[in-house]
Amino acid sequence: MKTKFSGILTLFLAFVVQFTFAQEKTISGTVSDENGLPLPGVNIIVKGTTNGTQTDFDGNYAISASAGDVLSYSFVGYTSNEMTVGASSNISFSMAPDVQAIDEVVVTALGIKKEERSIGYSAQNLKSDDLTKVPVTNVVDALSGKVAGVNITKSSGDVGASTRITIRGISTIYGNSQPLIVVDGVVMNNSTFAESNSGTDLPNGLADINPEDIESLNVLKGGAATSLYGMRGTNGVIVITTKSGSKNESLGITLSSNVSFSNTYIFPNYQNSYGQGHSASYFEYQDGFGYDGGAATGDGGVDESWGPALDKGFEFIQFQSLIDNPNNPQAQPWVSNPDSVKDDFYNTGLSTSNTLSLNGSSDNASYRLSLGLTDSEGIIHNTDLRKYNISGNVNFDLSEKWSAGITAMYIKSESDNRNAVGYGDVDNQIGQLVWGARQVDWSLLRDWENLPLIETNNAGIYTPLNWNLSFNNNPFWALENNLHPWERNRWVGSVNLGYEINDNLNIAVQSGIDYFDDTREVQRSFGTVDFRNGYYSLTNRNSYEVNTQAIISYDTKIGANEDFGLNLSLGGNIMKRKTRLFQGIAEQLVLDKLFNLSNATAPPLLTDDSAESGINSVFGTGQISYKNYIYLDFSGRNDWATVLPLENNSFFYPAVSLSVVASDMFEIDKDIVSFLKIRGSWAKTGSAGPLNAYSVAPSYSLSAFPLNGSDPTAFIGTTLWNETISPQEETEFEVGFDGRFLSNRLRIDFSYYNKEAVDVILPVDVSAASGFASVWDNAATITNEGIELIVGADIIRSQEAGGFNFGIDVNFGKNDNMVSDIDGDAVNLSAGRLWNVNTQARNGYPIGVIYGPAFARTDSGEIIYDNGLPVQDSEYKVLGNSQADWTGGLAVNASYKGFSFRTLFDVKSGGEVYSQTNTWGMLSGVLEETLPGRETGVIGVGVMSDGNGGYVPNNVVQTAQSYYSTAYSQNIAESSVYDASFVKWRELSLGYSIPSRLFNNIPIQSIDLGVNVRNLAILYKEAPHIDPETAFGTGTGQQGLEYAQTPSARTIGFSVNVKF
Amino acid sequence: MKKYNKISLLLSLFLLLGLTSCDKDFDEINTDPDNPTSILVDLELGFIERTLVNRVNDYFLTGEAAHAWVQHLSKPVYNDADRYFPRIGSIDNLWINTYTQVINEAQDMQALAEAAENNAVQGVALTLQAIAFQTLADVYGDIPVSEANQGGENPFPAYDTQASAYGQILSMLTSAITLLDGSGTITSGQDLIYSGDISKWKKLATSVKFRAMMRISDTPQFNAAELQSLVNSGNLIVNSADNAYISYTTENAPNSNPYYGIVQGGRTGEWCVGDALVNHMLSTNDPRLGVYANEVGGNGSGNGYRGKPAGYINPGLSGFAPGTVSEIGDAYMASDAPVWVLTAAQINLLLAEAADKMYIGGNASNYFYAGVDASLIQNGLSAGSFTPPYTGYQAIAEQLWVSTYMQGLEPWNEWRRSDIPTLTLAVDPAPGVNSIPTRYTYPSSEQSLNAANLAAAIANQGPDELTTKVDWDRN
Repeated sequence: MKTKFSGILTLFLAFVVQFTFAQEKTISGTVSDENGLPLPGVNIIVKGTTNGTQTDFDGNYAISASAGDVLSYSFVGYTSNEMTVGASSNISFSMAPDVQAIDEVVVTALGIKKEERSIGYSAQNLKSDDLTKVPVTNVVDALSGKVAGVNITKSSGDVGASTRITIRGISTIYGNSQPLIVVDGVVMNNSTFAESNSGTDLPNGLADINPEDIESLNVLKGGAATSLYGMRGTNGVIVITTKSGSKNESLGITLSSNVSFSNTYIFPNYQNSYGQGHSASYFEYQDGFGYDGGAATGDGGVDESWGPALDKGFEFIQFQSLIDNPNNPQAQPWVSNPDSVKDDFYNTGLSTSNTLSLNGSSDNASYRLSLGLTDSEGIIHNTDLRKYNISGNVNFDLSEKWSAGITAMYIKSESDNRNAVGYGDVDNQIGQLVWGARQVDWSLLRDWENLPLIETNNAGIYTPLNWNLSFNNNPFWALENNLHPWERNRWVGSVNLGYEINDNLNIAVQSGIDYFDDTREVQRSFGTVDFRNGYYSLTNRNSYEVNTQAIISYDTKIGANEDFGLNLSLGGNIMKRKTRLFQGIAEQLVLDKLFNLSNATAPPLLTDDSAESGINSVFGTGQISYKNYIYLDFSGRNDWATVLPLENNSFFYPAVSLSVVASDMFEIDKDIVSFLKIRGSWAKTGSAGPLNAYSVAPSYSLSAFPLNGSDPTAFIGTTLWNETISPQEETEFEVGFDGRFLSNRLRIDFSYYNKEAVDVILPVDVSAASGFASVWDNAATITNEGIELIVGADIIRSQEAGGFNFGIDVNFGKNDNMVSDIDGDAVNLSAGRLWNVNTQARNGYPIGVIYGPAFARTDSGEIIYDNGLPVQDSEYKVLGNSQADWTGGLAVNASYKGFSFRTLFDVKSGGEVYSQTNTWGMLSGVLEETLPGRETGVIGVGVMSDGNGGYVPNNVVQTAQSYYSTAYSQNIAESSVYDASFVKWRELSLGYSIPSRLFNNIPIQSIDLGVNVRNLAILYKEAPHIDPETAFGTGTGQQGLEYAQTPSARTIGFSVNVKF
Repeated sequence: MKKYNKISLLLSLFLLLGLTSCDKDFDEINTDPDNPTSILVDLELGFIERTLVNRVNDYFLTGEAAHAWVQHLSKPVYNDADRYFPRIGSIDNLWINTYTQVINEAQDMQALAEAAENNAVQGVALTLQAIAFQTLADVYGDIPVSEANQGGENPFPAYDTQASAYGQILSMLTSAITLLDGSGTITSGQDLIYSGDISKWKKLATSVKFRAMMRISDTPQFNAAELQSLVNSGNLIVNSADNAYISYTTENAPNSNPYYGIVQGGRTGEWCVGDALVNHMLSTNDPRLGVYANEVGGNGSGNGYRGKPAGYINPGLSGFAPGTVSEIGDAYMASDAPVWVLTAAQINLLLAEAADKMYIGGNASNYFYAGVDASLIQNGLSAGSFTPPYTGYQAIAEQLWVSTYMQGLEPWNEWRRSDIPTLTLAVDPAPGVNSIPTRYTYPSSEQSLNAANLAAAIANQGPDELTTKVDWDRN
């Protein structure tokens, strides 16, 4: 290149040496992109001549020109610049992306690529950088706070916790409310098959994708966007395109590495003044329970902290007395250990992640291969997660007309011990902190192998000592001996073939499969509380889904000047899906710690189940465009689904959308309004809701528990089938605009939508006296109405390379959900129960009503007391709702020279959460709010009966324990329902790109270093003691409920990305 | 031209494919390979028996409420129910499970048996339905019976008065007795109570009817003449060999004694025996005490027996901590301990009462001692090892109270009717509960789903409170 150039220069000089009257000189400089990074391949021409060159890999160029010449710089996708040569010999600057880039193409439904300007509905696109700047193990975590209208809830702070995504609110009561995930055209199963309310939490399907493999992630939110997916797209669709091979001059190898450390940063505010027990003056750790007076035996069985005051010089026999002197335990100082939970119970989580990818292309093919390995240790002792990803794709141009492609992914996820969540203290060791003994020094319990064994006939007999003898095993013993191993092997792949019949017509055929098999075990050793003879269960599930699709597309321009464009596509899809489940449970074991089904004392309980279903579809879509500024889209799809009754299994989904690029239609100053698109759409979608394979074919069931372990026995399910069931239908209307102003320095995207789902299928509760507890029916209406707003501003945009750029992005989403038309007013949501609290769908409220026992109150709202204790109202009440009012995010980014900075704040306003951690924490005297009144007693604030039908202020003193354990209990849940709003400082990343001039002689293209922090702080929350961003699991009914959550963790990581 | 032909060919192929294959094979795909649509006549029998018996003996309901309210049992910790705050979820489950998982299946089994002309299974199905309906009527009062279990045709059934319910229950039992004529067979593996012995089922149906009639003996619906004819039939269970119970053979729920779950959880200290019972048995030197209860600190400790009075917001502070009171006897906590449906002891004592009140002929005192002996035998003691003085109805009622220990809802049923012995209200009772509860409140699900019919029942029966009396509770 350089030799050619100097040759031209010499020639030029030779020819024009006589004609130059102005000083000819070499103009050089660097051209960079909007982020200050070098832009190679920019075309530079001296205007009016054929003298031209291109920038090199570092964005540098040199060209001969005279003062007064105009240099024209152009690059695809960027606004062309013209610079006049002046006195200076250096012209360097940044080029700005061209908003009207006709190449801006987005992948929409069914893999159909459309120009962004032509899309008549709201869709938000995230690029690779948005997802990998701050590395996460689960790509869904990277969406939080970035996409308007999308609500992400993580079940807990644990690595590998499941995550729930809702787009534009919930439109179904039972059944799946999560969006469809499509990766390179292959539908991926996003469920966890986790047990409800307890059991191990597993990462759901989307977590399997390696974020480094993602090129773009497009969130299709409304009906018009998703109606081409038919009944499965009704909750929104996330379309992911992975990176493919591309033309490049380098080796095409990329290596990314990340190391991160996690620590919990939310803890309940514990009280540290009173210790374990029920007596204010005495404590003695022995077998059983114990109280003051009488035949005082031990208090080691008590899991509450209403005991004697700490740090006052008392000495009592405690569990550590038995460690020091098992045969003759001595009293030890009764002191507080305020930080022991923080310091000694949780570990620092460590996660490393490495991805190596290769990509390249030749004349006829392009390919990409990536290998990834993630290895994490959790903050809960002895929990871990490993993930191995191998993925690749190849695209061929077999001939001028034929093209083909293959994508393949293999993901192996495994863990030696997964964390358990929910109620079931046997497995979830955090339960020991919800109740508790405030004086415990947890570090003394870690070395369980050297602790004396519990000898007395208690829950944990023959297991190492614990602070509690009735309800909990030594947590570290349990975490190392009662494991929950898990392994999942998953293959996702597709083959596609394309044929161009002629310039206007082509056919694309694709077949894709998502297959996984999942094995999980629950191991319990002898001496486990409630399972003193051990327990073992082995569950194996395998599932596949195959989608085969063919589309024929026609593309043409018609009319005078080819003003009208016409695209038409017709196609069909066949979906088949099958799941098999096998489970064996050995309820008691013969030999301890031998976890095998043959080691059962009685024949193992066996479950053997399978489900098969399918959907056949035909669809068509078309677009008419006028002069590239008016676009009219229409589509229709018809699904025939096996899960619907045969007489009524066909469903048609039409949609229409209009996009008008007003900035092109009218004469508008492009410097002020660079781009303005107004859009509107209408669509009808629907789904089968909660109906699964075989819901339409009711039958007897054989009990999972044969009689006395040997004889099968049958029963009838409690939900009655209804032959008149029809699919549920949703109609959505959306309008909005997408505007870019001030040379694209200000971007505003706004949408308003209104969706109504009718005939929502749910099992309607009926009186049990009818013989059934519920009947399937189309029996509710749900509306979702809201707005989404995305604003981006490049507040400072530098014209020079490496200059300072500063910008912000704001997104905001508000969704109003309303349920109506349920007969009988309310239904309890599936899996939505915590003691006496239920989550419900209730007429006149958003989905997610929290319903439970409340205080009895007078008409003026004062709490009624009887004998100093608050009284429960005779009726349960609506205590709150899990739905937020609005969510939003604020991202700030800046760059200067090679440095880049990015931070994100995530806000959720409104919605409530019921915290069982709070209820039990108050009942057991573990939280700081239980301190007032310990010595003097408590007079509850409220009124009591005056004996004559009126009320007087309450003046009866009750002991602190009686008071708190009545006001916060399973009989009164109102006191533990809190506002779940929060403002979180979600992400911070600082990156540095090592200047490329250092790589001149090495085959390295770039090295990017980064420091990133996730979950820096909760800047605002109302809910005490817990992180309000929590749920029991991903089900609709599980939102708004919390019990013994694994606390959220702050993660600090360091990353390196090297491109060769 | 050629290219357009190609196109239209392709298009028509697509359409053809689409339309012809749209839902062929769907029928086959929708056949569930793992669950049956037709079953053997009595394949549901074991499920019905097990569910009914386990639900009635749920330690969180009967064990905490019914038994505690007659002061047979108590709780030294977590004793809300003891103080008249019963677990609402357990009360709801009794209603829901009995209707949807016992009566529903029993009626289905009856229909299958009728189609197969199997009288024995029909008789068994009717007997179990009667027991189930009676269980519900005894604890809630007015309940749906005539409109119950009609599925989708009547999702919100109206309530019958308890008197009317009893009338229907008695006629179910009459039909059952007739059907149990010896024809038909019952699969012995499914029959956890009698292993398929039809003659014993006939005795059970007769005895359940007798017990039910005695229960309504204070109401106008009572018919003494019919009572006598039952006695004359010779089919009452007066011999311990005919006792109706389930003795499970595994250690794992639901195939084990429901109370064994307490042992598995290491929580035997959470329950204890009530001091009203302990004191009564100590004062009468009743040897059954050694079986009903363990000595304080375990048998063989020499500490004797100590019960706990009902109630106390903080039993430990009041001197009744766990470990200071007698736990439930080991015999009743074993995984294979019999879970009782009906005993000869109770029938004999009811015969004594009937004779004493001259509803039937016969020697009340003989029946009385036969009942006590049956109870002794049932507890592994020898007949005649205890002979309390016979003082007429007072003695009979006292023995009914003592002899029905740990037999489901029977102790509470009998005590409510007789009010003997006199029991004092629990210490620290729930606000508003001023007498020992005499029923369970209606389930919250009925309040939200079947409000109109429920309101009618309440208007007839009285407020939906724990202390409202059911119709046959006439004192």
